[in-house]
Amino acid sequence: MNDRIILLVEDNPNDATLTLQALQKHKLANEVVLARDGVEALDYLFGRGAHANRDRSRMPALILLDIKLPKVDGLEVLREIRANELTAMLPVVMLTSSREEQDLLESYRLHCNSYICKPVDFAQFVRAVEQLELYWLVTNEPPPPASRS
Amino acid sequence: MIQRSLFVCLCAAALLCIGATAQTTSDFLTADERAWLKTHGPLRWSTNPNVPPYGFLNANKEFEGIAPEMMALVARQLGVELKPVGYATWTDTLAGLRRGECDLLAAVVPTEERQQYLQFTHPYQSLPVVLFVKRGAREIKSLKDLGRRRVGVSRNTMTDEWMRREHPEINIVLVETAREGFLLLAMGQLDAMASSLALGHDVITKNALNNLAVLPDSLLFSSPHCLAVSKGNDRLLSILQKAVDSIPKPELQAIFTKWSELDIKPPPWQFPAWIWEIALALVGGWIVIAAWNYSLHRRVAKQAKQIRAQVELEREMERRCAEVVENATDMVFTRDMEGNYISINPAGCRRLGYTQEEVPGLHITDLVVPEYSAGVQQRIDAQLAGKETSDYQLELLHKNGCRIWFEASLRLLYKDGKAVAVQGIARDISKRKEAEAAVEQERRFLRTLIDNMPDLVYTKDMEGRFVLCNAAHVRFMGVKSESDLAGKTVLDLHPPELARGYYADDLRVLQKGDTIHNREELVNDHNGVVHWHLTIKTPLRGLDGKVIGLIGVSRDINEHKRALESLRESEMLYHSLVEQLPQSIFRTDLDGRVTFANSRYCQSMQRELKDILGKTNSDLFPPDLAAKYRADDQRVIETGNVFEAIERHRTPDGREFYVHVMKSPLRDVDRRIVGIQCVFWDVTGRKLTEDALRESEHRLRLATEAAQMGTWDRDLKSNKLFWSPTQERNMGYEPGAFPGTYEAFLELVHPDSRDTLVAAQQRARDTGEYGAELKFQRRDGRVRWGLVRGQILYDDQGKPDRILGVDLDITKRKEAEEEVAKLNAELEQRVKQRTAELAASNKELEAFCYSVSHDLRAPLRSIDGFSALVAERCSNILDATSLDYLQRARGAAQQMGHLINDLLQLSRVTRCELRQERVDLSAMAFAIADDLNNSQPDRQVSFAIEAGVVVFGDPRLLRIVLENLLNNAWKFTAMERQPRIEFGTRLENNLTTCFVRDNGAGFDMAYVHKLFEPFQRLHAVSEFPGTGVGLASVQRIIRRHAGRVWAEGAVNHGATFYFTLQTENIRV
Repeated sequence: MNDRIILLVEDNPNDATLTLQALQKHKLANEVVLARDGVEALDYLFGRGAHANRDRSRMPALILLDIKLPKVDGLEVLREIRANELTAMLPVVMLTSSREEQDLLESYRLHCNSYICKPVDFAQFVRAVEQLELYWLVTNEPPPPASRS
Repeated sequence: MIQRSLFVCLCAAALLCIGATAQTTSDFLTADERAWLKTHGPLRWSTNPNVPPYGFLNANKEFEGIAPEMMALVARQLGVELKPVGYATWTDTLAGLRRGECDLLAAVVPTEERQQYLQFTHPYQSLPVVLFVKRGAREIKSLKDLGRRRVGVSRNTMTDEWMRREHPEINIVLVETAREGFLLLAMGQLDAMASSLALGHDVITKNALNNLAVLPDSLLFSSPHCLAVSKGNDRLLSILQKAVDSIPKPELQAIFTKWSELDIKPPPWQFPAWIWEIALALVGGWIVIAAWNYSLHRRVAKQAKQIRAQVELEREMERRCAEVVENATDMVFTRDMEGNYISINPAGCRRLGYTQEEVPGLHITDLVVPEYSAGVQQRIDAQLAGKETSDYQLELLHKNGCRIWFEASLRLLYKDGKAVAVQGIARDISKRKEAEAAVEQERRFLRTLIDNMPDLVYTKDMEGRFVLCNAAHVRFMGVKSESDLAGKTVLDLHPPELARGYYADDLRVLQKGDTIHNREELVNDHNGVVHWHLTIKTPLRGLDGKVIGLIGVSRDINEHKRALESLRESEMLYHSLVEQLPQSIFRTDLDGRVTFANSRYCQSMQRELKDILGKTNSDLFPPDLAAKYRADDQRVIETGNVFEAIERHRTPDGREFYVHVMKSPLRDVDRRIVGIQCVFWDVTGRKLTEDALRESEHRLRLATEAAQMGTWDRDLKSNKLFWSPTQERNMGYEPGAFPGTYEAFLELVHPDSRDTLVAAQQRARDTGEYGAELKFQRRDGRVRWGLVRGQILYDDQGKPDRILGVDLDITKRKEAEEEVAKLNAELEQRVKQRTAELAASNKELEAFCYSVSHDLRAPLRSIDGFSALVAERCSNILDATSLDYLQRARGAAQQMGHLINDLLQLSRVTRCELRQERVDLSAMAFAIADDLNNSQPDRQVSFAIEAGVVVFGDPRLLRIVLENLLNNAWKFTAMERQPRIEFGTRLENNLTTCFVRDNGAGFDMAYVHKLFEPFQRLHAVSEFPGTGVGLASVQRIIRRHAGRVWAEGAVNHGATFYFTLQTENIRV
């Protein structure tokens, strides 16, 4: 459990900053990778583009995925993650401002692991991120490495 | 005989005496028997009435002979009275016994045949039965000589039985009575007669059959005489037996001796027959000679005297005779044996036209018509031979050659024993002959007449026996000739059930002298076929006026009868028909008088038939009607044409109605008009209907004209098409210009409507109803629309015959419809456009909402987040006021976040699809209350939630409603010390209404209208937080559920929010 990478996909720098701030409170992750749009997130995950030289055996332990993203939106990113054997079992938590029913339905249909609506109240926001971090990195047992090909 | 009668009287007297004194002599009887006699007396007895001397009836119908004297003895012995019962014959006597009319028979011989029905006492006498033969019948000397000879025997006698048994070789001739047998014997028809000695003796004596005698030594057997009773009458038999036994034998013997005048015992010795005969002959001869001698003497003396007297007489006679001859009216003539006339008296000469002088020259051939001369000669020859001749009839010739009928007798005149002349008397019978001929002619005429009559004609004698029957009768009876019927009565010829009636009539005519007119009777012919006969029977009277028979004439009226029957039947049929007809029928004669009226007519006239018959129109109707009817009648009588009309009629009671009248002339067999038959019936209903129909047709015509509705009528077989003028006008034709063919019609059908027409025709074939809206190209090229409707009429075979229909012009409507369709199309286009616009704006709105939910929140979160970070990082640098400002910025950002959430919710409430499910509001309220309690555990709020409130609706939206209402209640009771929140229902105007009530801050009803508007708040946020969107959402949701929401409240006195859902939606 050395490689506790969190992939945060967030286009809004304010939100990204606030999220990183929240994550830094406990420093449970070894590394937080920030992707600013869907393409970047997918490039990172599949070792393409700017991340072509990345060690693809290192996969994030948790992906925090916003829905509304430039280029490729969060739901499309989730579909690709679930479609690829390498990434299909990665825990993906939707972290978004949207409370729209259709977003919720679509996310769960694409097998997201959790859906968090970002509260406006920062204190609540920090609390939510802390819980996420703790839960997915500590409490939760990740899928065994053998399943990763 | 006188002596015998005397004796009978004496006997009867003796009998009475004996009866009176005999009481004590019957002691040989038992007490029972005496008692029986008493109860069964007086006993009646009888015997054969025809066997003297045993028994016979004298002139006074009293019994005489041995039997009655025997019975007198029996009566004496029994001490009872015995009563004789006499019958005419032995057979009747036996029948009388069988009928119980007498109790016993006397002097009966117990033959085998009689023993079958009689019981006999022991014989009290035995009488010898012997053979009688003709005297001098030398060939019969004993029984042995009787072989094959005819021996008479009385039928059913012991002798009969005995002879058959003992001498079957003898030819027995059965006779009914002994007398008959002896007479036959005397006449030589029998060779012998077997009979009891006494009986034979009696018969011979009484009938002076002196040539008969007993055959000596011919005792056949002894026939026992007994008393007899009916078989089974044992008691009487025993009594009689005792009585017979008690009679002393000498008394019995005395009776017999007295009556038989013979010693019944055959002489102990007899001379041989031939000695007896010779002696008899000698004695007889002597007696005869002596007697003859004496009588000769007497006769000589007598004759001498007589001759003298006769000579005198003859002289006188001759003289008188001559006178008679001269003056006789008959012809008296003498002829010599050669036929020359010697004399003819004046009457004869006159009759034959000769003078006395001419007579000597006349020969028999001159006077006797040749065909009679043989007859005359025959008679002469007969007289020459010594025979008598009868009178005879012949025709003599008048001098002038005429034939005249005479009845003549002749005798020969002898001279010296030789016939020398023929004397004759001839009487002119020409008158009688003429009369006879006339009668015969008459008879033949009548006979021919009646034989040629088709009727049966017959006469009968006083016993009703046919005497004369005509040919028709013979034919009818199927016999060969009249003689087969003669002597028979109807009882012999017809079955009894029919004959009895005829016979009764016969007797009435014969006995009372009535004439029976026209008796209709059934008579069977020889084939058994029964005919109706009309019979007249009238008595036939003799010259003295006495009925001597009857004459009957029977006419076969079968045909007539049948014709009559059928006439009657047809009359009855006619009558019943006429009476049953619903029409009124009456007939009048030429004078207008009613001769017949059926009951219907009588009813309509309200009079009895008798009050109508003979009346005329003026008697029956008011003057105006009567005059009209009389005129109508007169016209029919004059023209012979049938008058038929529908006219107003008025009954006596003033009712008026329409009648259909037919008056036709009545004609007799010569086709002459003899009256009028009138038939009429009430057609008021029909007339009114017709009027109404005419009216309605008129109205219909007006209506169709007014509606510009054309009518048409198409004959499916000829394809002819009739159009009403309106239809023609509608199609652009001048009235009457349409060619009237279906093809012409088809040319007018617009191409657009051709398919419609074909489909409508197909439908019409299936359903019989024809209907379509068709577009036509009028004759003038204009387009017109017609609503065509029609109905198929079928012929008798069920095949379509015609189509009748109407054509309503709907061009204007169609044009309007087309306009509407065009407008509709435009409208639709517009709606589509608007819908697309709306869809686009919806989409925009959704995009807006999305961006609101997503994009507006992000900056707020940044404001709040960074403010929080600044406050955290610079808490030691910043003063309290700065930190407060930062906190306010964060508060505003958070408030903005809530607003955005509520707004999104409001928009979602409006946009989302409405589901209809069963929703348990109570359970939902409980859950929300729990959440509220959990969110602020320090608050003590009392919830009262009604259980079981279930509605149909959208569960998510209804949850929003309840959440909002309960949240509000929760929120606005925050200041309350004892907060209480209620959820429940109540009935309001039959509608279940839900409510949420609290006892919180309440509100001013003045602003109640603002409660449900978005972003309107009645309280300061600082007082009660909120965005003012919740109740707006509630109202939208309730409205989407077709319900209503309202609120009641007062400041500081809590608030109640009511809502209803769709009618009958809420179930408790």
